[in-house]
Amino acid sequence: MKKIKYVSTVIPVILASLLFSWTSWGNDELLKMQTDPNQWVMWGGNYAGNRYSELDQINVKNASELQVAWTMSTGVLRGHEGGPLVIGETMYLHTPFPNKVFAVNLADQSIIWSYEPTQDSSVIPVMCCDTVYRGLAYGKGKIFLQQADTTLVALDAKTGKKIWSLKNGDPKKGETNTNAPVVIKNMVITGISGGEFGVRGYLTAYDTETGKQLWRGYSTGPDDEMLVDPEKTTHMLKPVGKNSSLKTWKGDQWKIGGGTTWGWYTYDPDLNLIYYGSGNPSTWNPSQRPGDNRWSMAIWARDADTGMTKWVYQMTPHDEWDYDGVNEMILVDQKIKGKMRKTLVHFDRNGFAYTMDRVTGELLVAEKFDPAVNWATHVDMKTGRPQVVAKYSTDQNGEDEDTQGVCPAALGSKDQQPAAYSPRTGLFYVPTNHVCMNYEPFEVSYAAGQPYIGATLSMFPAPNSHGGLGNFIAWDADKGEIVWSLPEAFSVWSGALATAGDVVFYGTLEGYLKAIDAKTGKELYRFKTPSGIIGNINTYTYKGKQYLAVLSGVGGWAGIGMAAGLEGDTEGLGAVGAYRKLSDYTQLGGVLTVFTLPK
Amino acid sequence: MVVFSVSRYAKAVLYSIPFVLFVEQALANDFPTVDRALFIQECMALENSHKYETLYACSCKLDKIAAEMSYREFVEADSYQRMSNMRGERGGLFRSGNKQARDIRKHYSQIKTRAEAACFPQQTSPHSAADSSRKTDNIQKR
Repeated sequence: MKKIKYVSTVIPVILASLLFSWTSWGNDELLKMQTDPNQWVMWGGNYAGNRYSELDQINVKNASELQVAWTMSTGVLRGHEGGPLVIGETMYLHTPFPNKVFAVNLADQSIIWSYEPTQDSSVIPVMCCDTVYRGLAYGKGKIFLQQADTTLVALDAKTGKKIWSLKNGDPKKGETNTNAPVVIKNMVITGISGGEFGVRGYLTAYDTETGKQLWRGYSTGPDDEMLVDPEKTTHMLKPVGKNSSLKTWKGDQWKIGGGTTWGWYTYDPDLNLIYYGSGNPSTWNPSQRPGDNRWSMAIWARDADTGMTKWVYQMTPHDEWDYDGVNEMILVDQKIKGKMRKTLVHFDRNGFAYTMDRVTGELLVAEKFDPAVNWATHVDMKTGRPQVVAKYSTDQNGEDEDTQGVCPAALGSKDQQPAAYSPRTGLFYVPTNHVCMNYEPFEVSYAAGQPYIGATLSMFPAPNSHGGLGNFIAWDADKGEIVWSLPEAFSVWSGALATAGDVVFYGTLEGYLKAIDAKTGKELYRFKTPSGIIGNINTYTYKGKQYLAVLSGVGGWAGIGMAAGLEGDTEGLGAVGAYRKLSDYTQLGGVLTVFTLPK
Repeated sequence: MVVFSVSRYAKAVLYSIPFVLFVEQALANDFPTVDRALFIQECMALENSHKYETLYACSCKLDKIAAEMSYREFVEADSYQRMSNMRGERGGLFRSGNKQARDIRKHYSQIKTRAEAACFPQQTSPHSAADSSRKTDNIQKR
């Protein structure tokens, strides 16, 4: 009896203290920090990926007076994606391969510490799409660096000292990393790249303190490995049932099925759900992989603590065009058809913008955000399936047949560059492609670490339009309509920023930083940075003054790259191995440009 | 007969054509200072030389280009060329069957080739021969 009494009083105390230590351990630091407009603590500005800032010093009236405050060369060539973080009075800057990290003192732009990992350069040939890297994560006094070779490193934010590191994948199998991780509670969340190499995608949570793996959910395969509950996980509001992925692949093709997770991750702390997208199925030749290829090309909602899938929605079943589903999931509470909803808004590569109920996974709106999109007429709202136009089906046309004039091209109507949302206008600001393609699939066989592509592509500007390759649009996610659209000569591959000053910012491939009136779409300001912009524009304050920061650098430096033999009409779509000695030209590398208003 | 019956007004238009061309020529040389500075800086870096003759040659090259293209045309053509140097799928957009991209790049390359022929009398100088980037620059001209 005594014993039992002991147990009944002590156990609850232990449990309570455990719970207490767990909640303080999985701290609220970032929850608070993400609401502070003076800092820029994660890729999306906040967990919801809104890329919106409450700062309004720079506004519609004065944006035309912007000036360059300071610049910093990264000394690294190749494409510079993502944007810097600002924590307190320190900026944390990343670079493409070799993935350097700089901690910059905002007082005088001096470098507090820098970190350059040693990476095997053999990882470069297995990166399909340039050696980009989309940014760092901050949390628990640490900076998390996700290297190209899949090494995840925790650095002391103050000193740059390495605390721990781990291997998230195996580059020999074609697994690489390009994504920015996010920190949620006591976890750092990261994905994997390599869909062009037959990599089977997964999302993983590691303990921020030790690097211990807490959960991993695959995009394809058996239910338990995907962390999918056949009864509880839903698709279009219905349980997915047993073997929901296995049933949709021929044999064990799911093992090399793609569905990689190289995009962005958002989080709803109230629902405790993580949202992200999975990429294309491998190969690009659809005839070789009959079935819906679940759950490639899907939107995922996973429980942050367990990784279990609450719901999943496949946008492009049995992909035939390489429309990766990895683009960001923007979390916004807004009125849809007059009713307030917790929504998720996603601009997919396939050219449809999806508005979902993020609690249940109900499909609310699915409309084309580029009028050029022609591969499907519409999305059936009952089944969630796009209605494919036979003429543009690379599968129905078959192997070694060139399917012509498909819009969008494989790059999608929008690539990874994140859009922004302004609660002041209720609009989404979306950088887009306006590109179509001819697509010819061919038979390929799989070998680990080798490209597994199986299609020849050529791409061109959308016909019968303005002749340019891109648009920057304002989108109404309730009506599913474009509100205004700015034609661009080139695809817009820079992440947007919206602010309380009612100004929207984005960059262009010519190198222009542009400031746009959020309401009207009127251009207020442009400045040509040293190179094309494929980075994201972030904002913060230092000593009470608002700044904008953007990385430029597309990697296409004159006189470099041609030696890689890329001039052929369709070469360079897959892995590009050749890597010239570039050290002589470092002065031409990426540049961070920081803007502010004159005194 | 028809030729001689051209009205006075039409004659005035005909006489003004050279003037119009001249005005266009002058307008074409519209590069902002910052872009001139950047062009020369990069040109010298690619030549791997900080000597005066390189500064002169690079300035000359830019003047020749600016005489044949407006700044707007230059920005577009130069961007197209840089984009085509990008690795992977994205660069593929500019390398692949995009005829517009190819035409613009080709036109720009021809202008650059003419400018280089006129401005770099020391084509076989030691640094040029050793610097393969110059050669790759030439490969782009197709």
